[in-house]
Amino acid sequence: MAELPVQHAIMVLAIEGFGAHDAYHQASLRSELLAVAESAARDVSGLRWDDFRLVDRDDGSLMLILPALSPVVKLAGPFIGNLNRRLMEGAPGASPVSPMRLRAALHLGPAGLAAQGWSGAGIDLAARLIDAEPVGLALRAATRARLAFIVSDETHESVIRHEYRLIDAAAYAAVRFDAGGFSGIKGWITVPGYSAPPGIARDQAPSAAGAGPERGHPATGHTGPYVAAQTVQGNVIGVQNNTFNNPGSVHL
Amino acid sequence: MPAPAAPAPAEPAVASPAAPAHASSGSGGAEAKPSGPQQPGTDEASDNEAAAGESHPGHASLRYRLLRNVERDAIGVQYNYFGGSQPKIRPLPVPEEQVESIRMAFAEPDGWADVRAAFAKKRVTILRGRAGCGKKGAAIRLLLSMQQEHIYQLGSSTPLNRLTDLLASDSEIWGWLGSEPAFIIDQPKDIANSRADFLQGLESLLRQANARLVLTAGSDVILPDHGLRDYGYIIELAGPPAHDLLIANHLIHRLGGEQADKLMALPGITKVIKKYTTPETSCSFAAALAAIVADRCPAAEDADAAAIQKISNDVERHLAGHFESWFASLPDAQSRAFAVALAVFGGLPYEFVARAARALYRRFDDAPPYLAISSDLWFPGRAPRLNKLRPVITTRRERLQVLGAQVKEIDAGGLYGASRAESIEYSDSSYANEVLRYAWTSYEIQDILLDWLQALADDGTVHIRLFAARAVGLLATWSFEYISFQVLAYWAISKNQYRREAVAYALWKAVSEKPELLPQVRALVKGWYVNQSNPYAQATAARAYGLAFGSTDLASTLEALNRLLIVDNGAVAGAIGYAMADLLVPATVDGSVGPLPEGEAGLVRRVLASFEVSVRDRDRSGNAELAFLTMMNLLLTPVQSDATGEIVSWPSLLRLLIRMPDIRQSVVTLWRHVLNDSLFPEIAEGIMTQWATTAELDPVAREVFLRLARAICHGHTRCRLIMDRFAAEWVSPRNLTPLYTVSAAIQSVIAAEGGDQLT
Repeated sequence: MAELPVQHAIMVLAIEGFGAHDAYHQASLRSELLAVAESAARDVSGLRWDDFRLVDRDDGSLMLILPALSPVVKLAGPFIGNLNRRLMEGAPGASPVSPMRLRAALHLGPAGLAAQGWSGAGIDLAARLIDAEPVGLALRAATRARLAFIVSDETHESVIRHEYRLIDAAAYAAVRFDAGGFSGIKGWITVPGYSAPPGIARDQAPSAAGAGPERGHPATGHTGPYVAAQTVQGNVIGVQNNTFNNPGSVHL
Repeated sequence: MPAPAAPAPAEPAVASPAAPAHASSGSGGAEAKPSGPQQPGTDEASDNEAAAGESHPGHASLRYRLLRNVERDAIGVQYNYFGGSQPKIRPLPVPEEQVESIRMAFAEPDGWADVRAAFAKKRVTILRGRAGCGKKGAAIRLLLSMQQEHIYQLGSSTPLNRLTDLLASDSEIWGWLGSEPAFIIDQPKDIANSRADFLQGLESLLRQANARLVLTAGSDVILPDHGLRDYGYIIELAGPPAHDLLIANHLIHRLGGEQADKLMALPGITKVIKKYTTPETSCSFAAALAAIVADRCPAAEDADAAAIQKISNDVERHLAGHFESWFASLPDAQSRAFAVALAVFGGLPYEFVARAARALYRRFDDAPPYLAISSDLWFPGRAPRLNKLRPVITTRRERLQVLGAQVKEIDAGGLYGASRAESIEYSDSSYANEVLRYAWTSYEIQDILLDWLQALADDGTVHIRLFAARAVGLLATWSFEYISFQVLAYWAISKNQYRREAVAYALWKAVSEKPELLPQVRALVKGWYVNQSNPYAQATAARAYGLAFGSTDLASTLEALNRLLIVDNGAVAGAIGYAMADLLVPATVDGSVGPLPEGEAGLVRRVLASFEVSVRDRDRSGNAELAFLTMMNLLLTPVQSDATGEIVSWPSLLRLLIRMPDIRQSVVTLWRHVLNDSLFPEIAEGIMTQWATTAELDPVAREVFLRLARAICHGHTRCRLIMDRFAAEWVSPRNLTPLYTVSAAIQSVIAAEGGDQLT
């Protein structure tokens, strides 16, 4: 029976340049991503890897879904830090020639599991965040890090800016981007090890005080039509504790 | 009362303010009395502010924007004093470059997460650490982490006990500080007063104001009270961050990651860094070292042996702190003339600086040798030899490199709207004042400099005039008596309006740079104010009230300007209009539609109320109307049109009607006065046409304008007649830029208001 969408922490990890690799290398990268994510999570006290529900997609992205009661701060703080560190160190068996680099996105929003897979507004926004152009720009400019991390404006407002020990809110820069048919979506980017995310022009990073009016963002008073879910192509190959296969179009 | 005696508004030579309301396209706009702004370089000084004000629409707004580009610290200084007769507290914004540098290139010292967590718990903290460990930078970074975007610094001599007055007041200053302000006092002198119970009181006030305060203190400073630590007010910084990391971060910030990584991997660069950094090296020096490396080697390929040697030389000079040796190292008089011009005009486009530099060099060339070459430093080790200008010898790049200057892209501002331009300025912003002071105090070239500045203060380009005036103000901070007697006293009574204006800006600069000069400046201005035999002096005084004193004491300023309206002279009335515009301009730069901060809104209300009082006074009404018209004409607010996406310059008062609906009645009343009295019919028509032009271009403006017009006409037959005539004029066959939409709408309004009774 389908779960009603309830609040979850939704993190998406996407391997940069995944499509450029051959099938063999892609499979290897996906295994490596899963291993690195598990290893990074197990090193964070308060996070239980068994609580993670995973959606591993064949486009090189991995969705980690946690109940909202989980310590989200640790996901945005130490987990991301560990993940970057692990990537910098290089996972066992990883290619030294083309080390894996990740885009990571986090959003707190409603998600529910149905027969077709996970869906909900939270999943939609997380999927838009991971595709945000500024994250790719920041990652490409970050020569001293292996990942760039974006959070939704709501997550920034409710978590990031209120946590002072585990997270440096000053290292986040606001960006606006278009994705999934919506324009002016606001997110906040950081890159571990950087004082502020590189590669992002200041115009794209308005201050919190001067961020300007919200435009067309579904979770912040959008004015356009609301798209409840986004359909993507691909197989759900594993859901923690609920493993199943889906051969066709997956409702994510 | 009759119209002022000498305003000359109706003289044929004086044109009405048909400004280009449309900043991004040339279309639209009626041609009621066309003149528009004059071309740069062709501007001629008038003796009459009213005339000048009317032919330069939006000039107060333009000047404000120009100065804001370079005077981030001091612009609006007339508003940010606090304290009545007590010693002044003067919050100055932390320079944006510094905030940006901390935002982009901060390197965390050990234990930073704990520092952050401790900092979050308190509204007031004492950040303690050894010399050079980056206390101020850490304070800025911590405030950024708390999302405090409005960060101000207070002088180290700020009496801490006066902070409670500031925080407890409902002064207008809060309107200027912005929401959730944060204050930093770097190494306050009376840190000994910061006892725990005192800080607890401050904490409570800061919490109410959503504000924060950071005091920094050296680790050797003995704090007065053990309770400070017990209550968590003291946060210790473990030490500076790793210098390599800090330098790398600064290089990334300046050059991008790729170049920074390459540079940091070069043996020559690592050797220089290693040579000049020790565990005791200060963060500021590490940042300066990164700046030197980035200046000398913008790309890794530039880092050859010669460049490395130059880096070493620069670092040695920096360490030696010998500004003089840098200046002496400039290769020729042309470079030094350029250095002085850059000191005065830094922040303006290159061509402006170069023009000013050539003008100065020519004066050196023309001057008797004993005057220009009174020191060997101008030409060390060489016989005096002045070359005629040879402009093709030195490229801009070479010039900038020699002077340690940088190019920045800026909004050049301008009467026709925003435009991008490349400005130049010293990479080390402290050099500008140093160079000017050095040139002023170390050589016998005072007369040459003053002659040069006077010529530039008369220049047709507003940018040049303003910056020249600033420089005179800066000189006044070092030689107030000399400058006031030799320069300001003459300029203040000049027929040339530009010189009078330069006096006001110079005094503004002097006071903002050195607040303790305020009593002397007040005395100086008072002399001009009461000089009934010379209206030009009184006009200068009016400008000084608006600029230099501003709302330091707004009530006194408005009272003084209001009283001065009794002087039956157009130059004085116009100057009062300018002064009112200078007071209002900070409230008009933001084109958004939300409510105005209370401080700014209060200012607008008081200025309008002051005009309402004076237009009802028979002895002042004529001058008040002229001043009001002048003020309206000088203020334009750029607004992006929702309909077209283009930038439209709104008359600021029209825009304020959206943000402050409560001022509608005042604006209606004042418009009725100027229309009914018809003392300045052409100016009034010109300004009304300016408003109508904006309304023609922008539907939102149209709605506001029509509502205002309806209110003006409501129950006033004469106003309806006048508006009807304007509307007819806007579509007359003689008009080259007709306003069909607005004209038709106005005529509908008039009909609805009883226009059928018009005959």
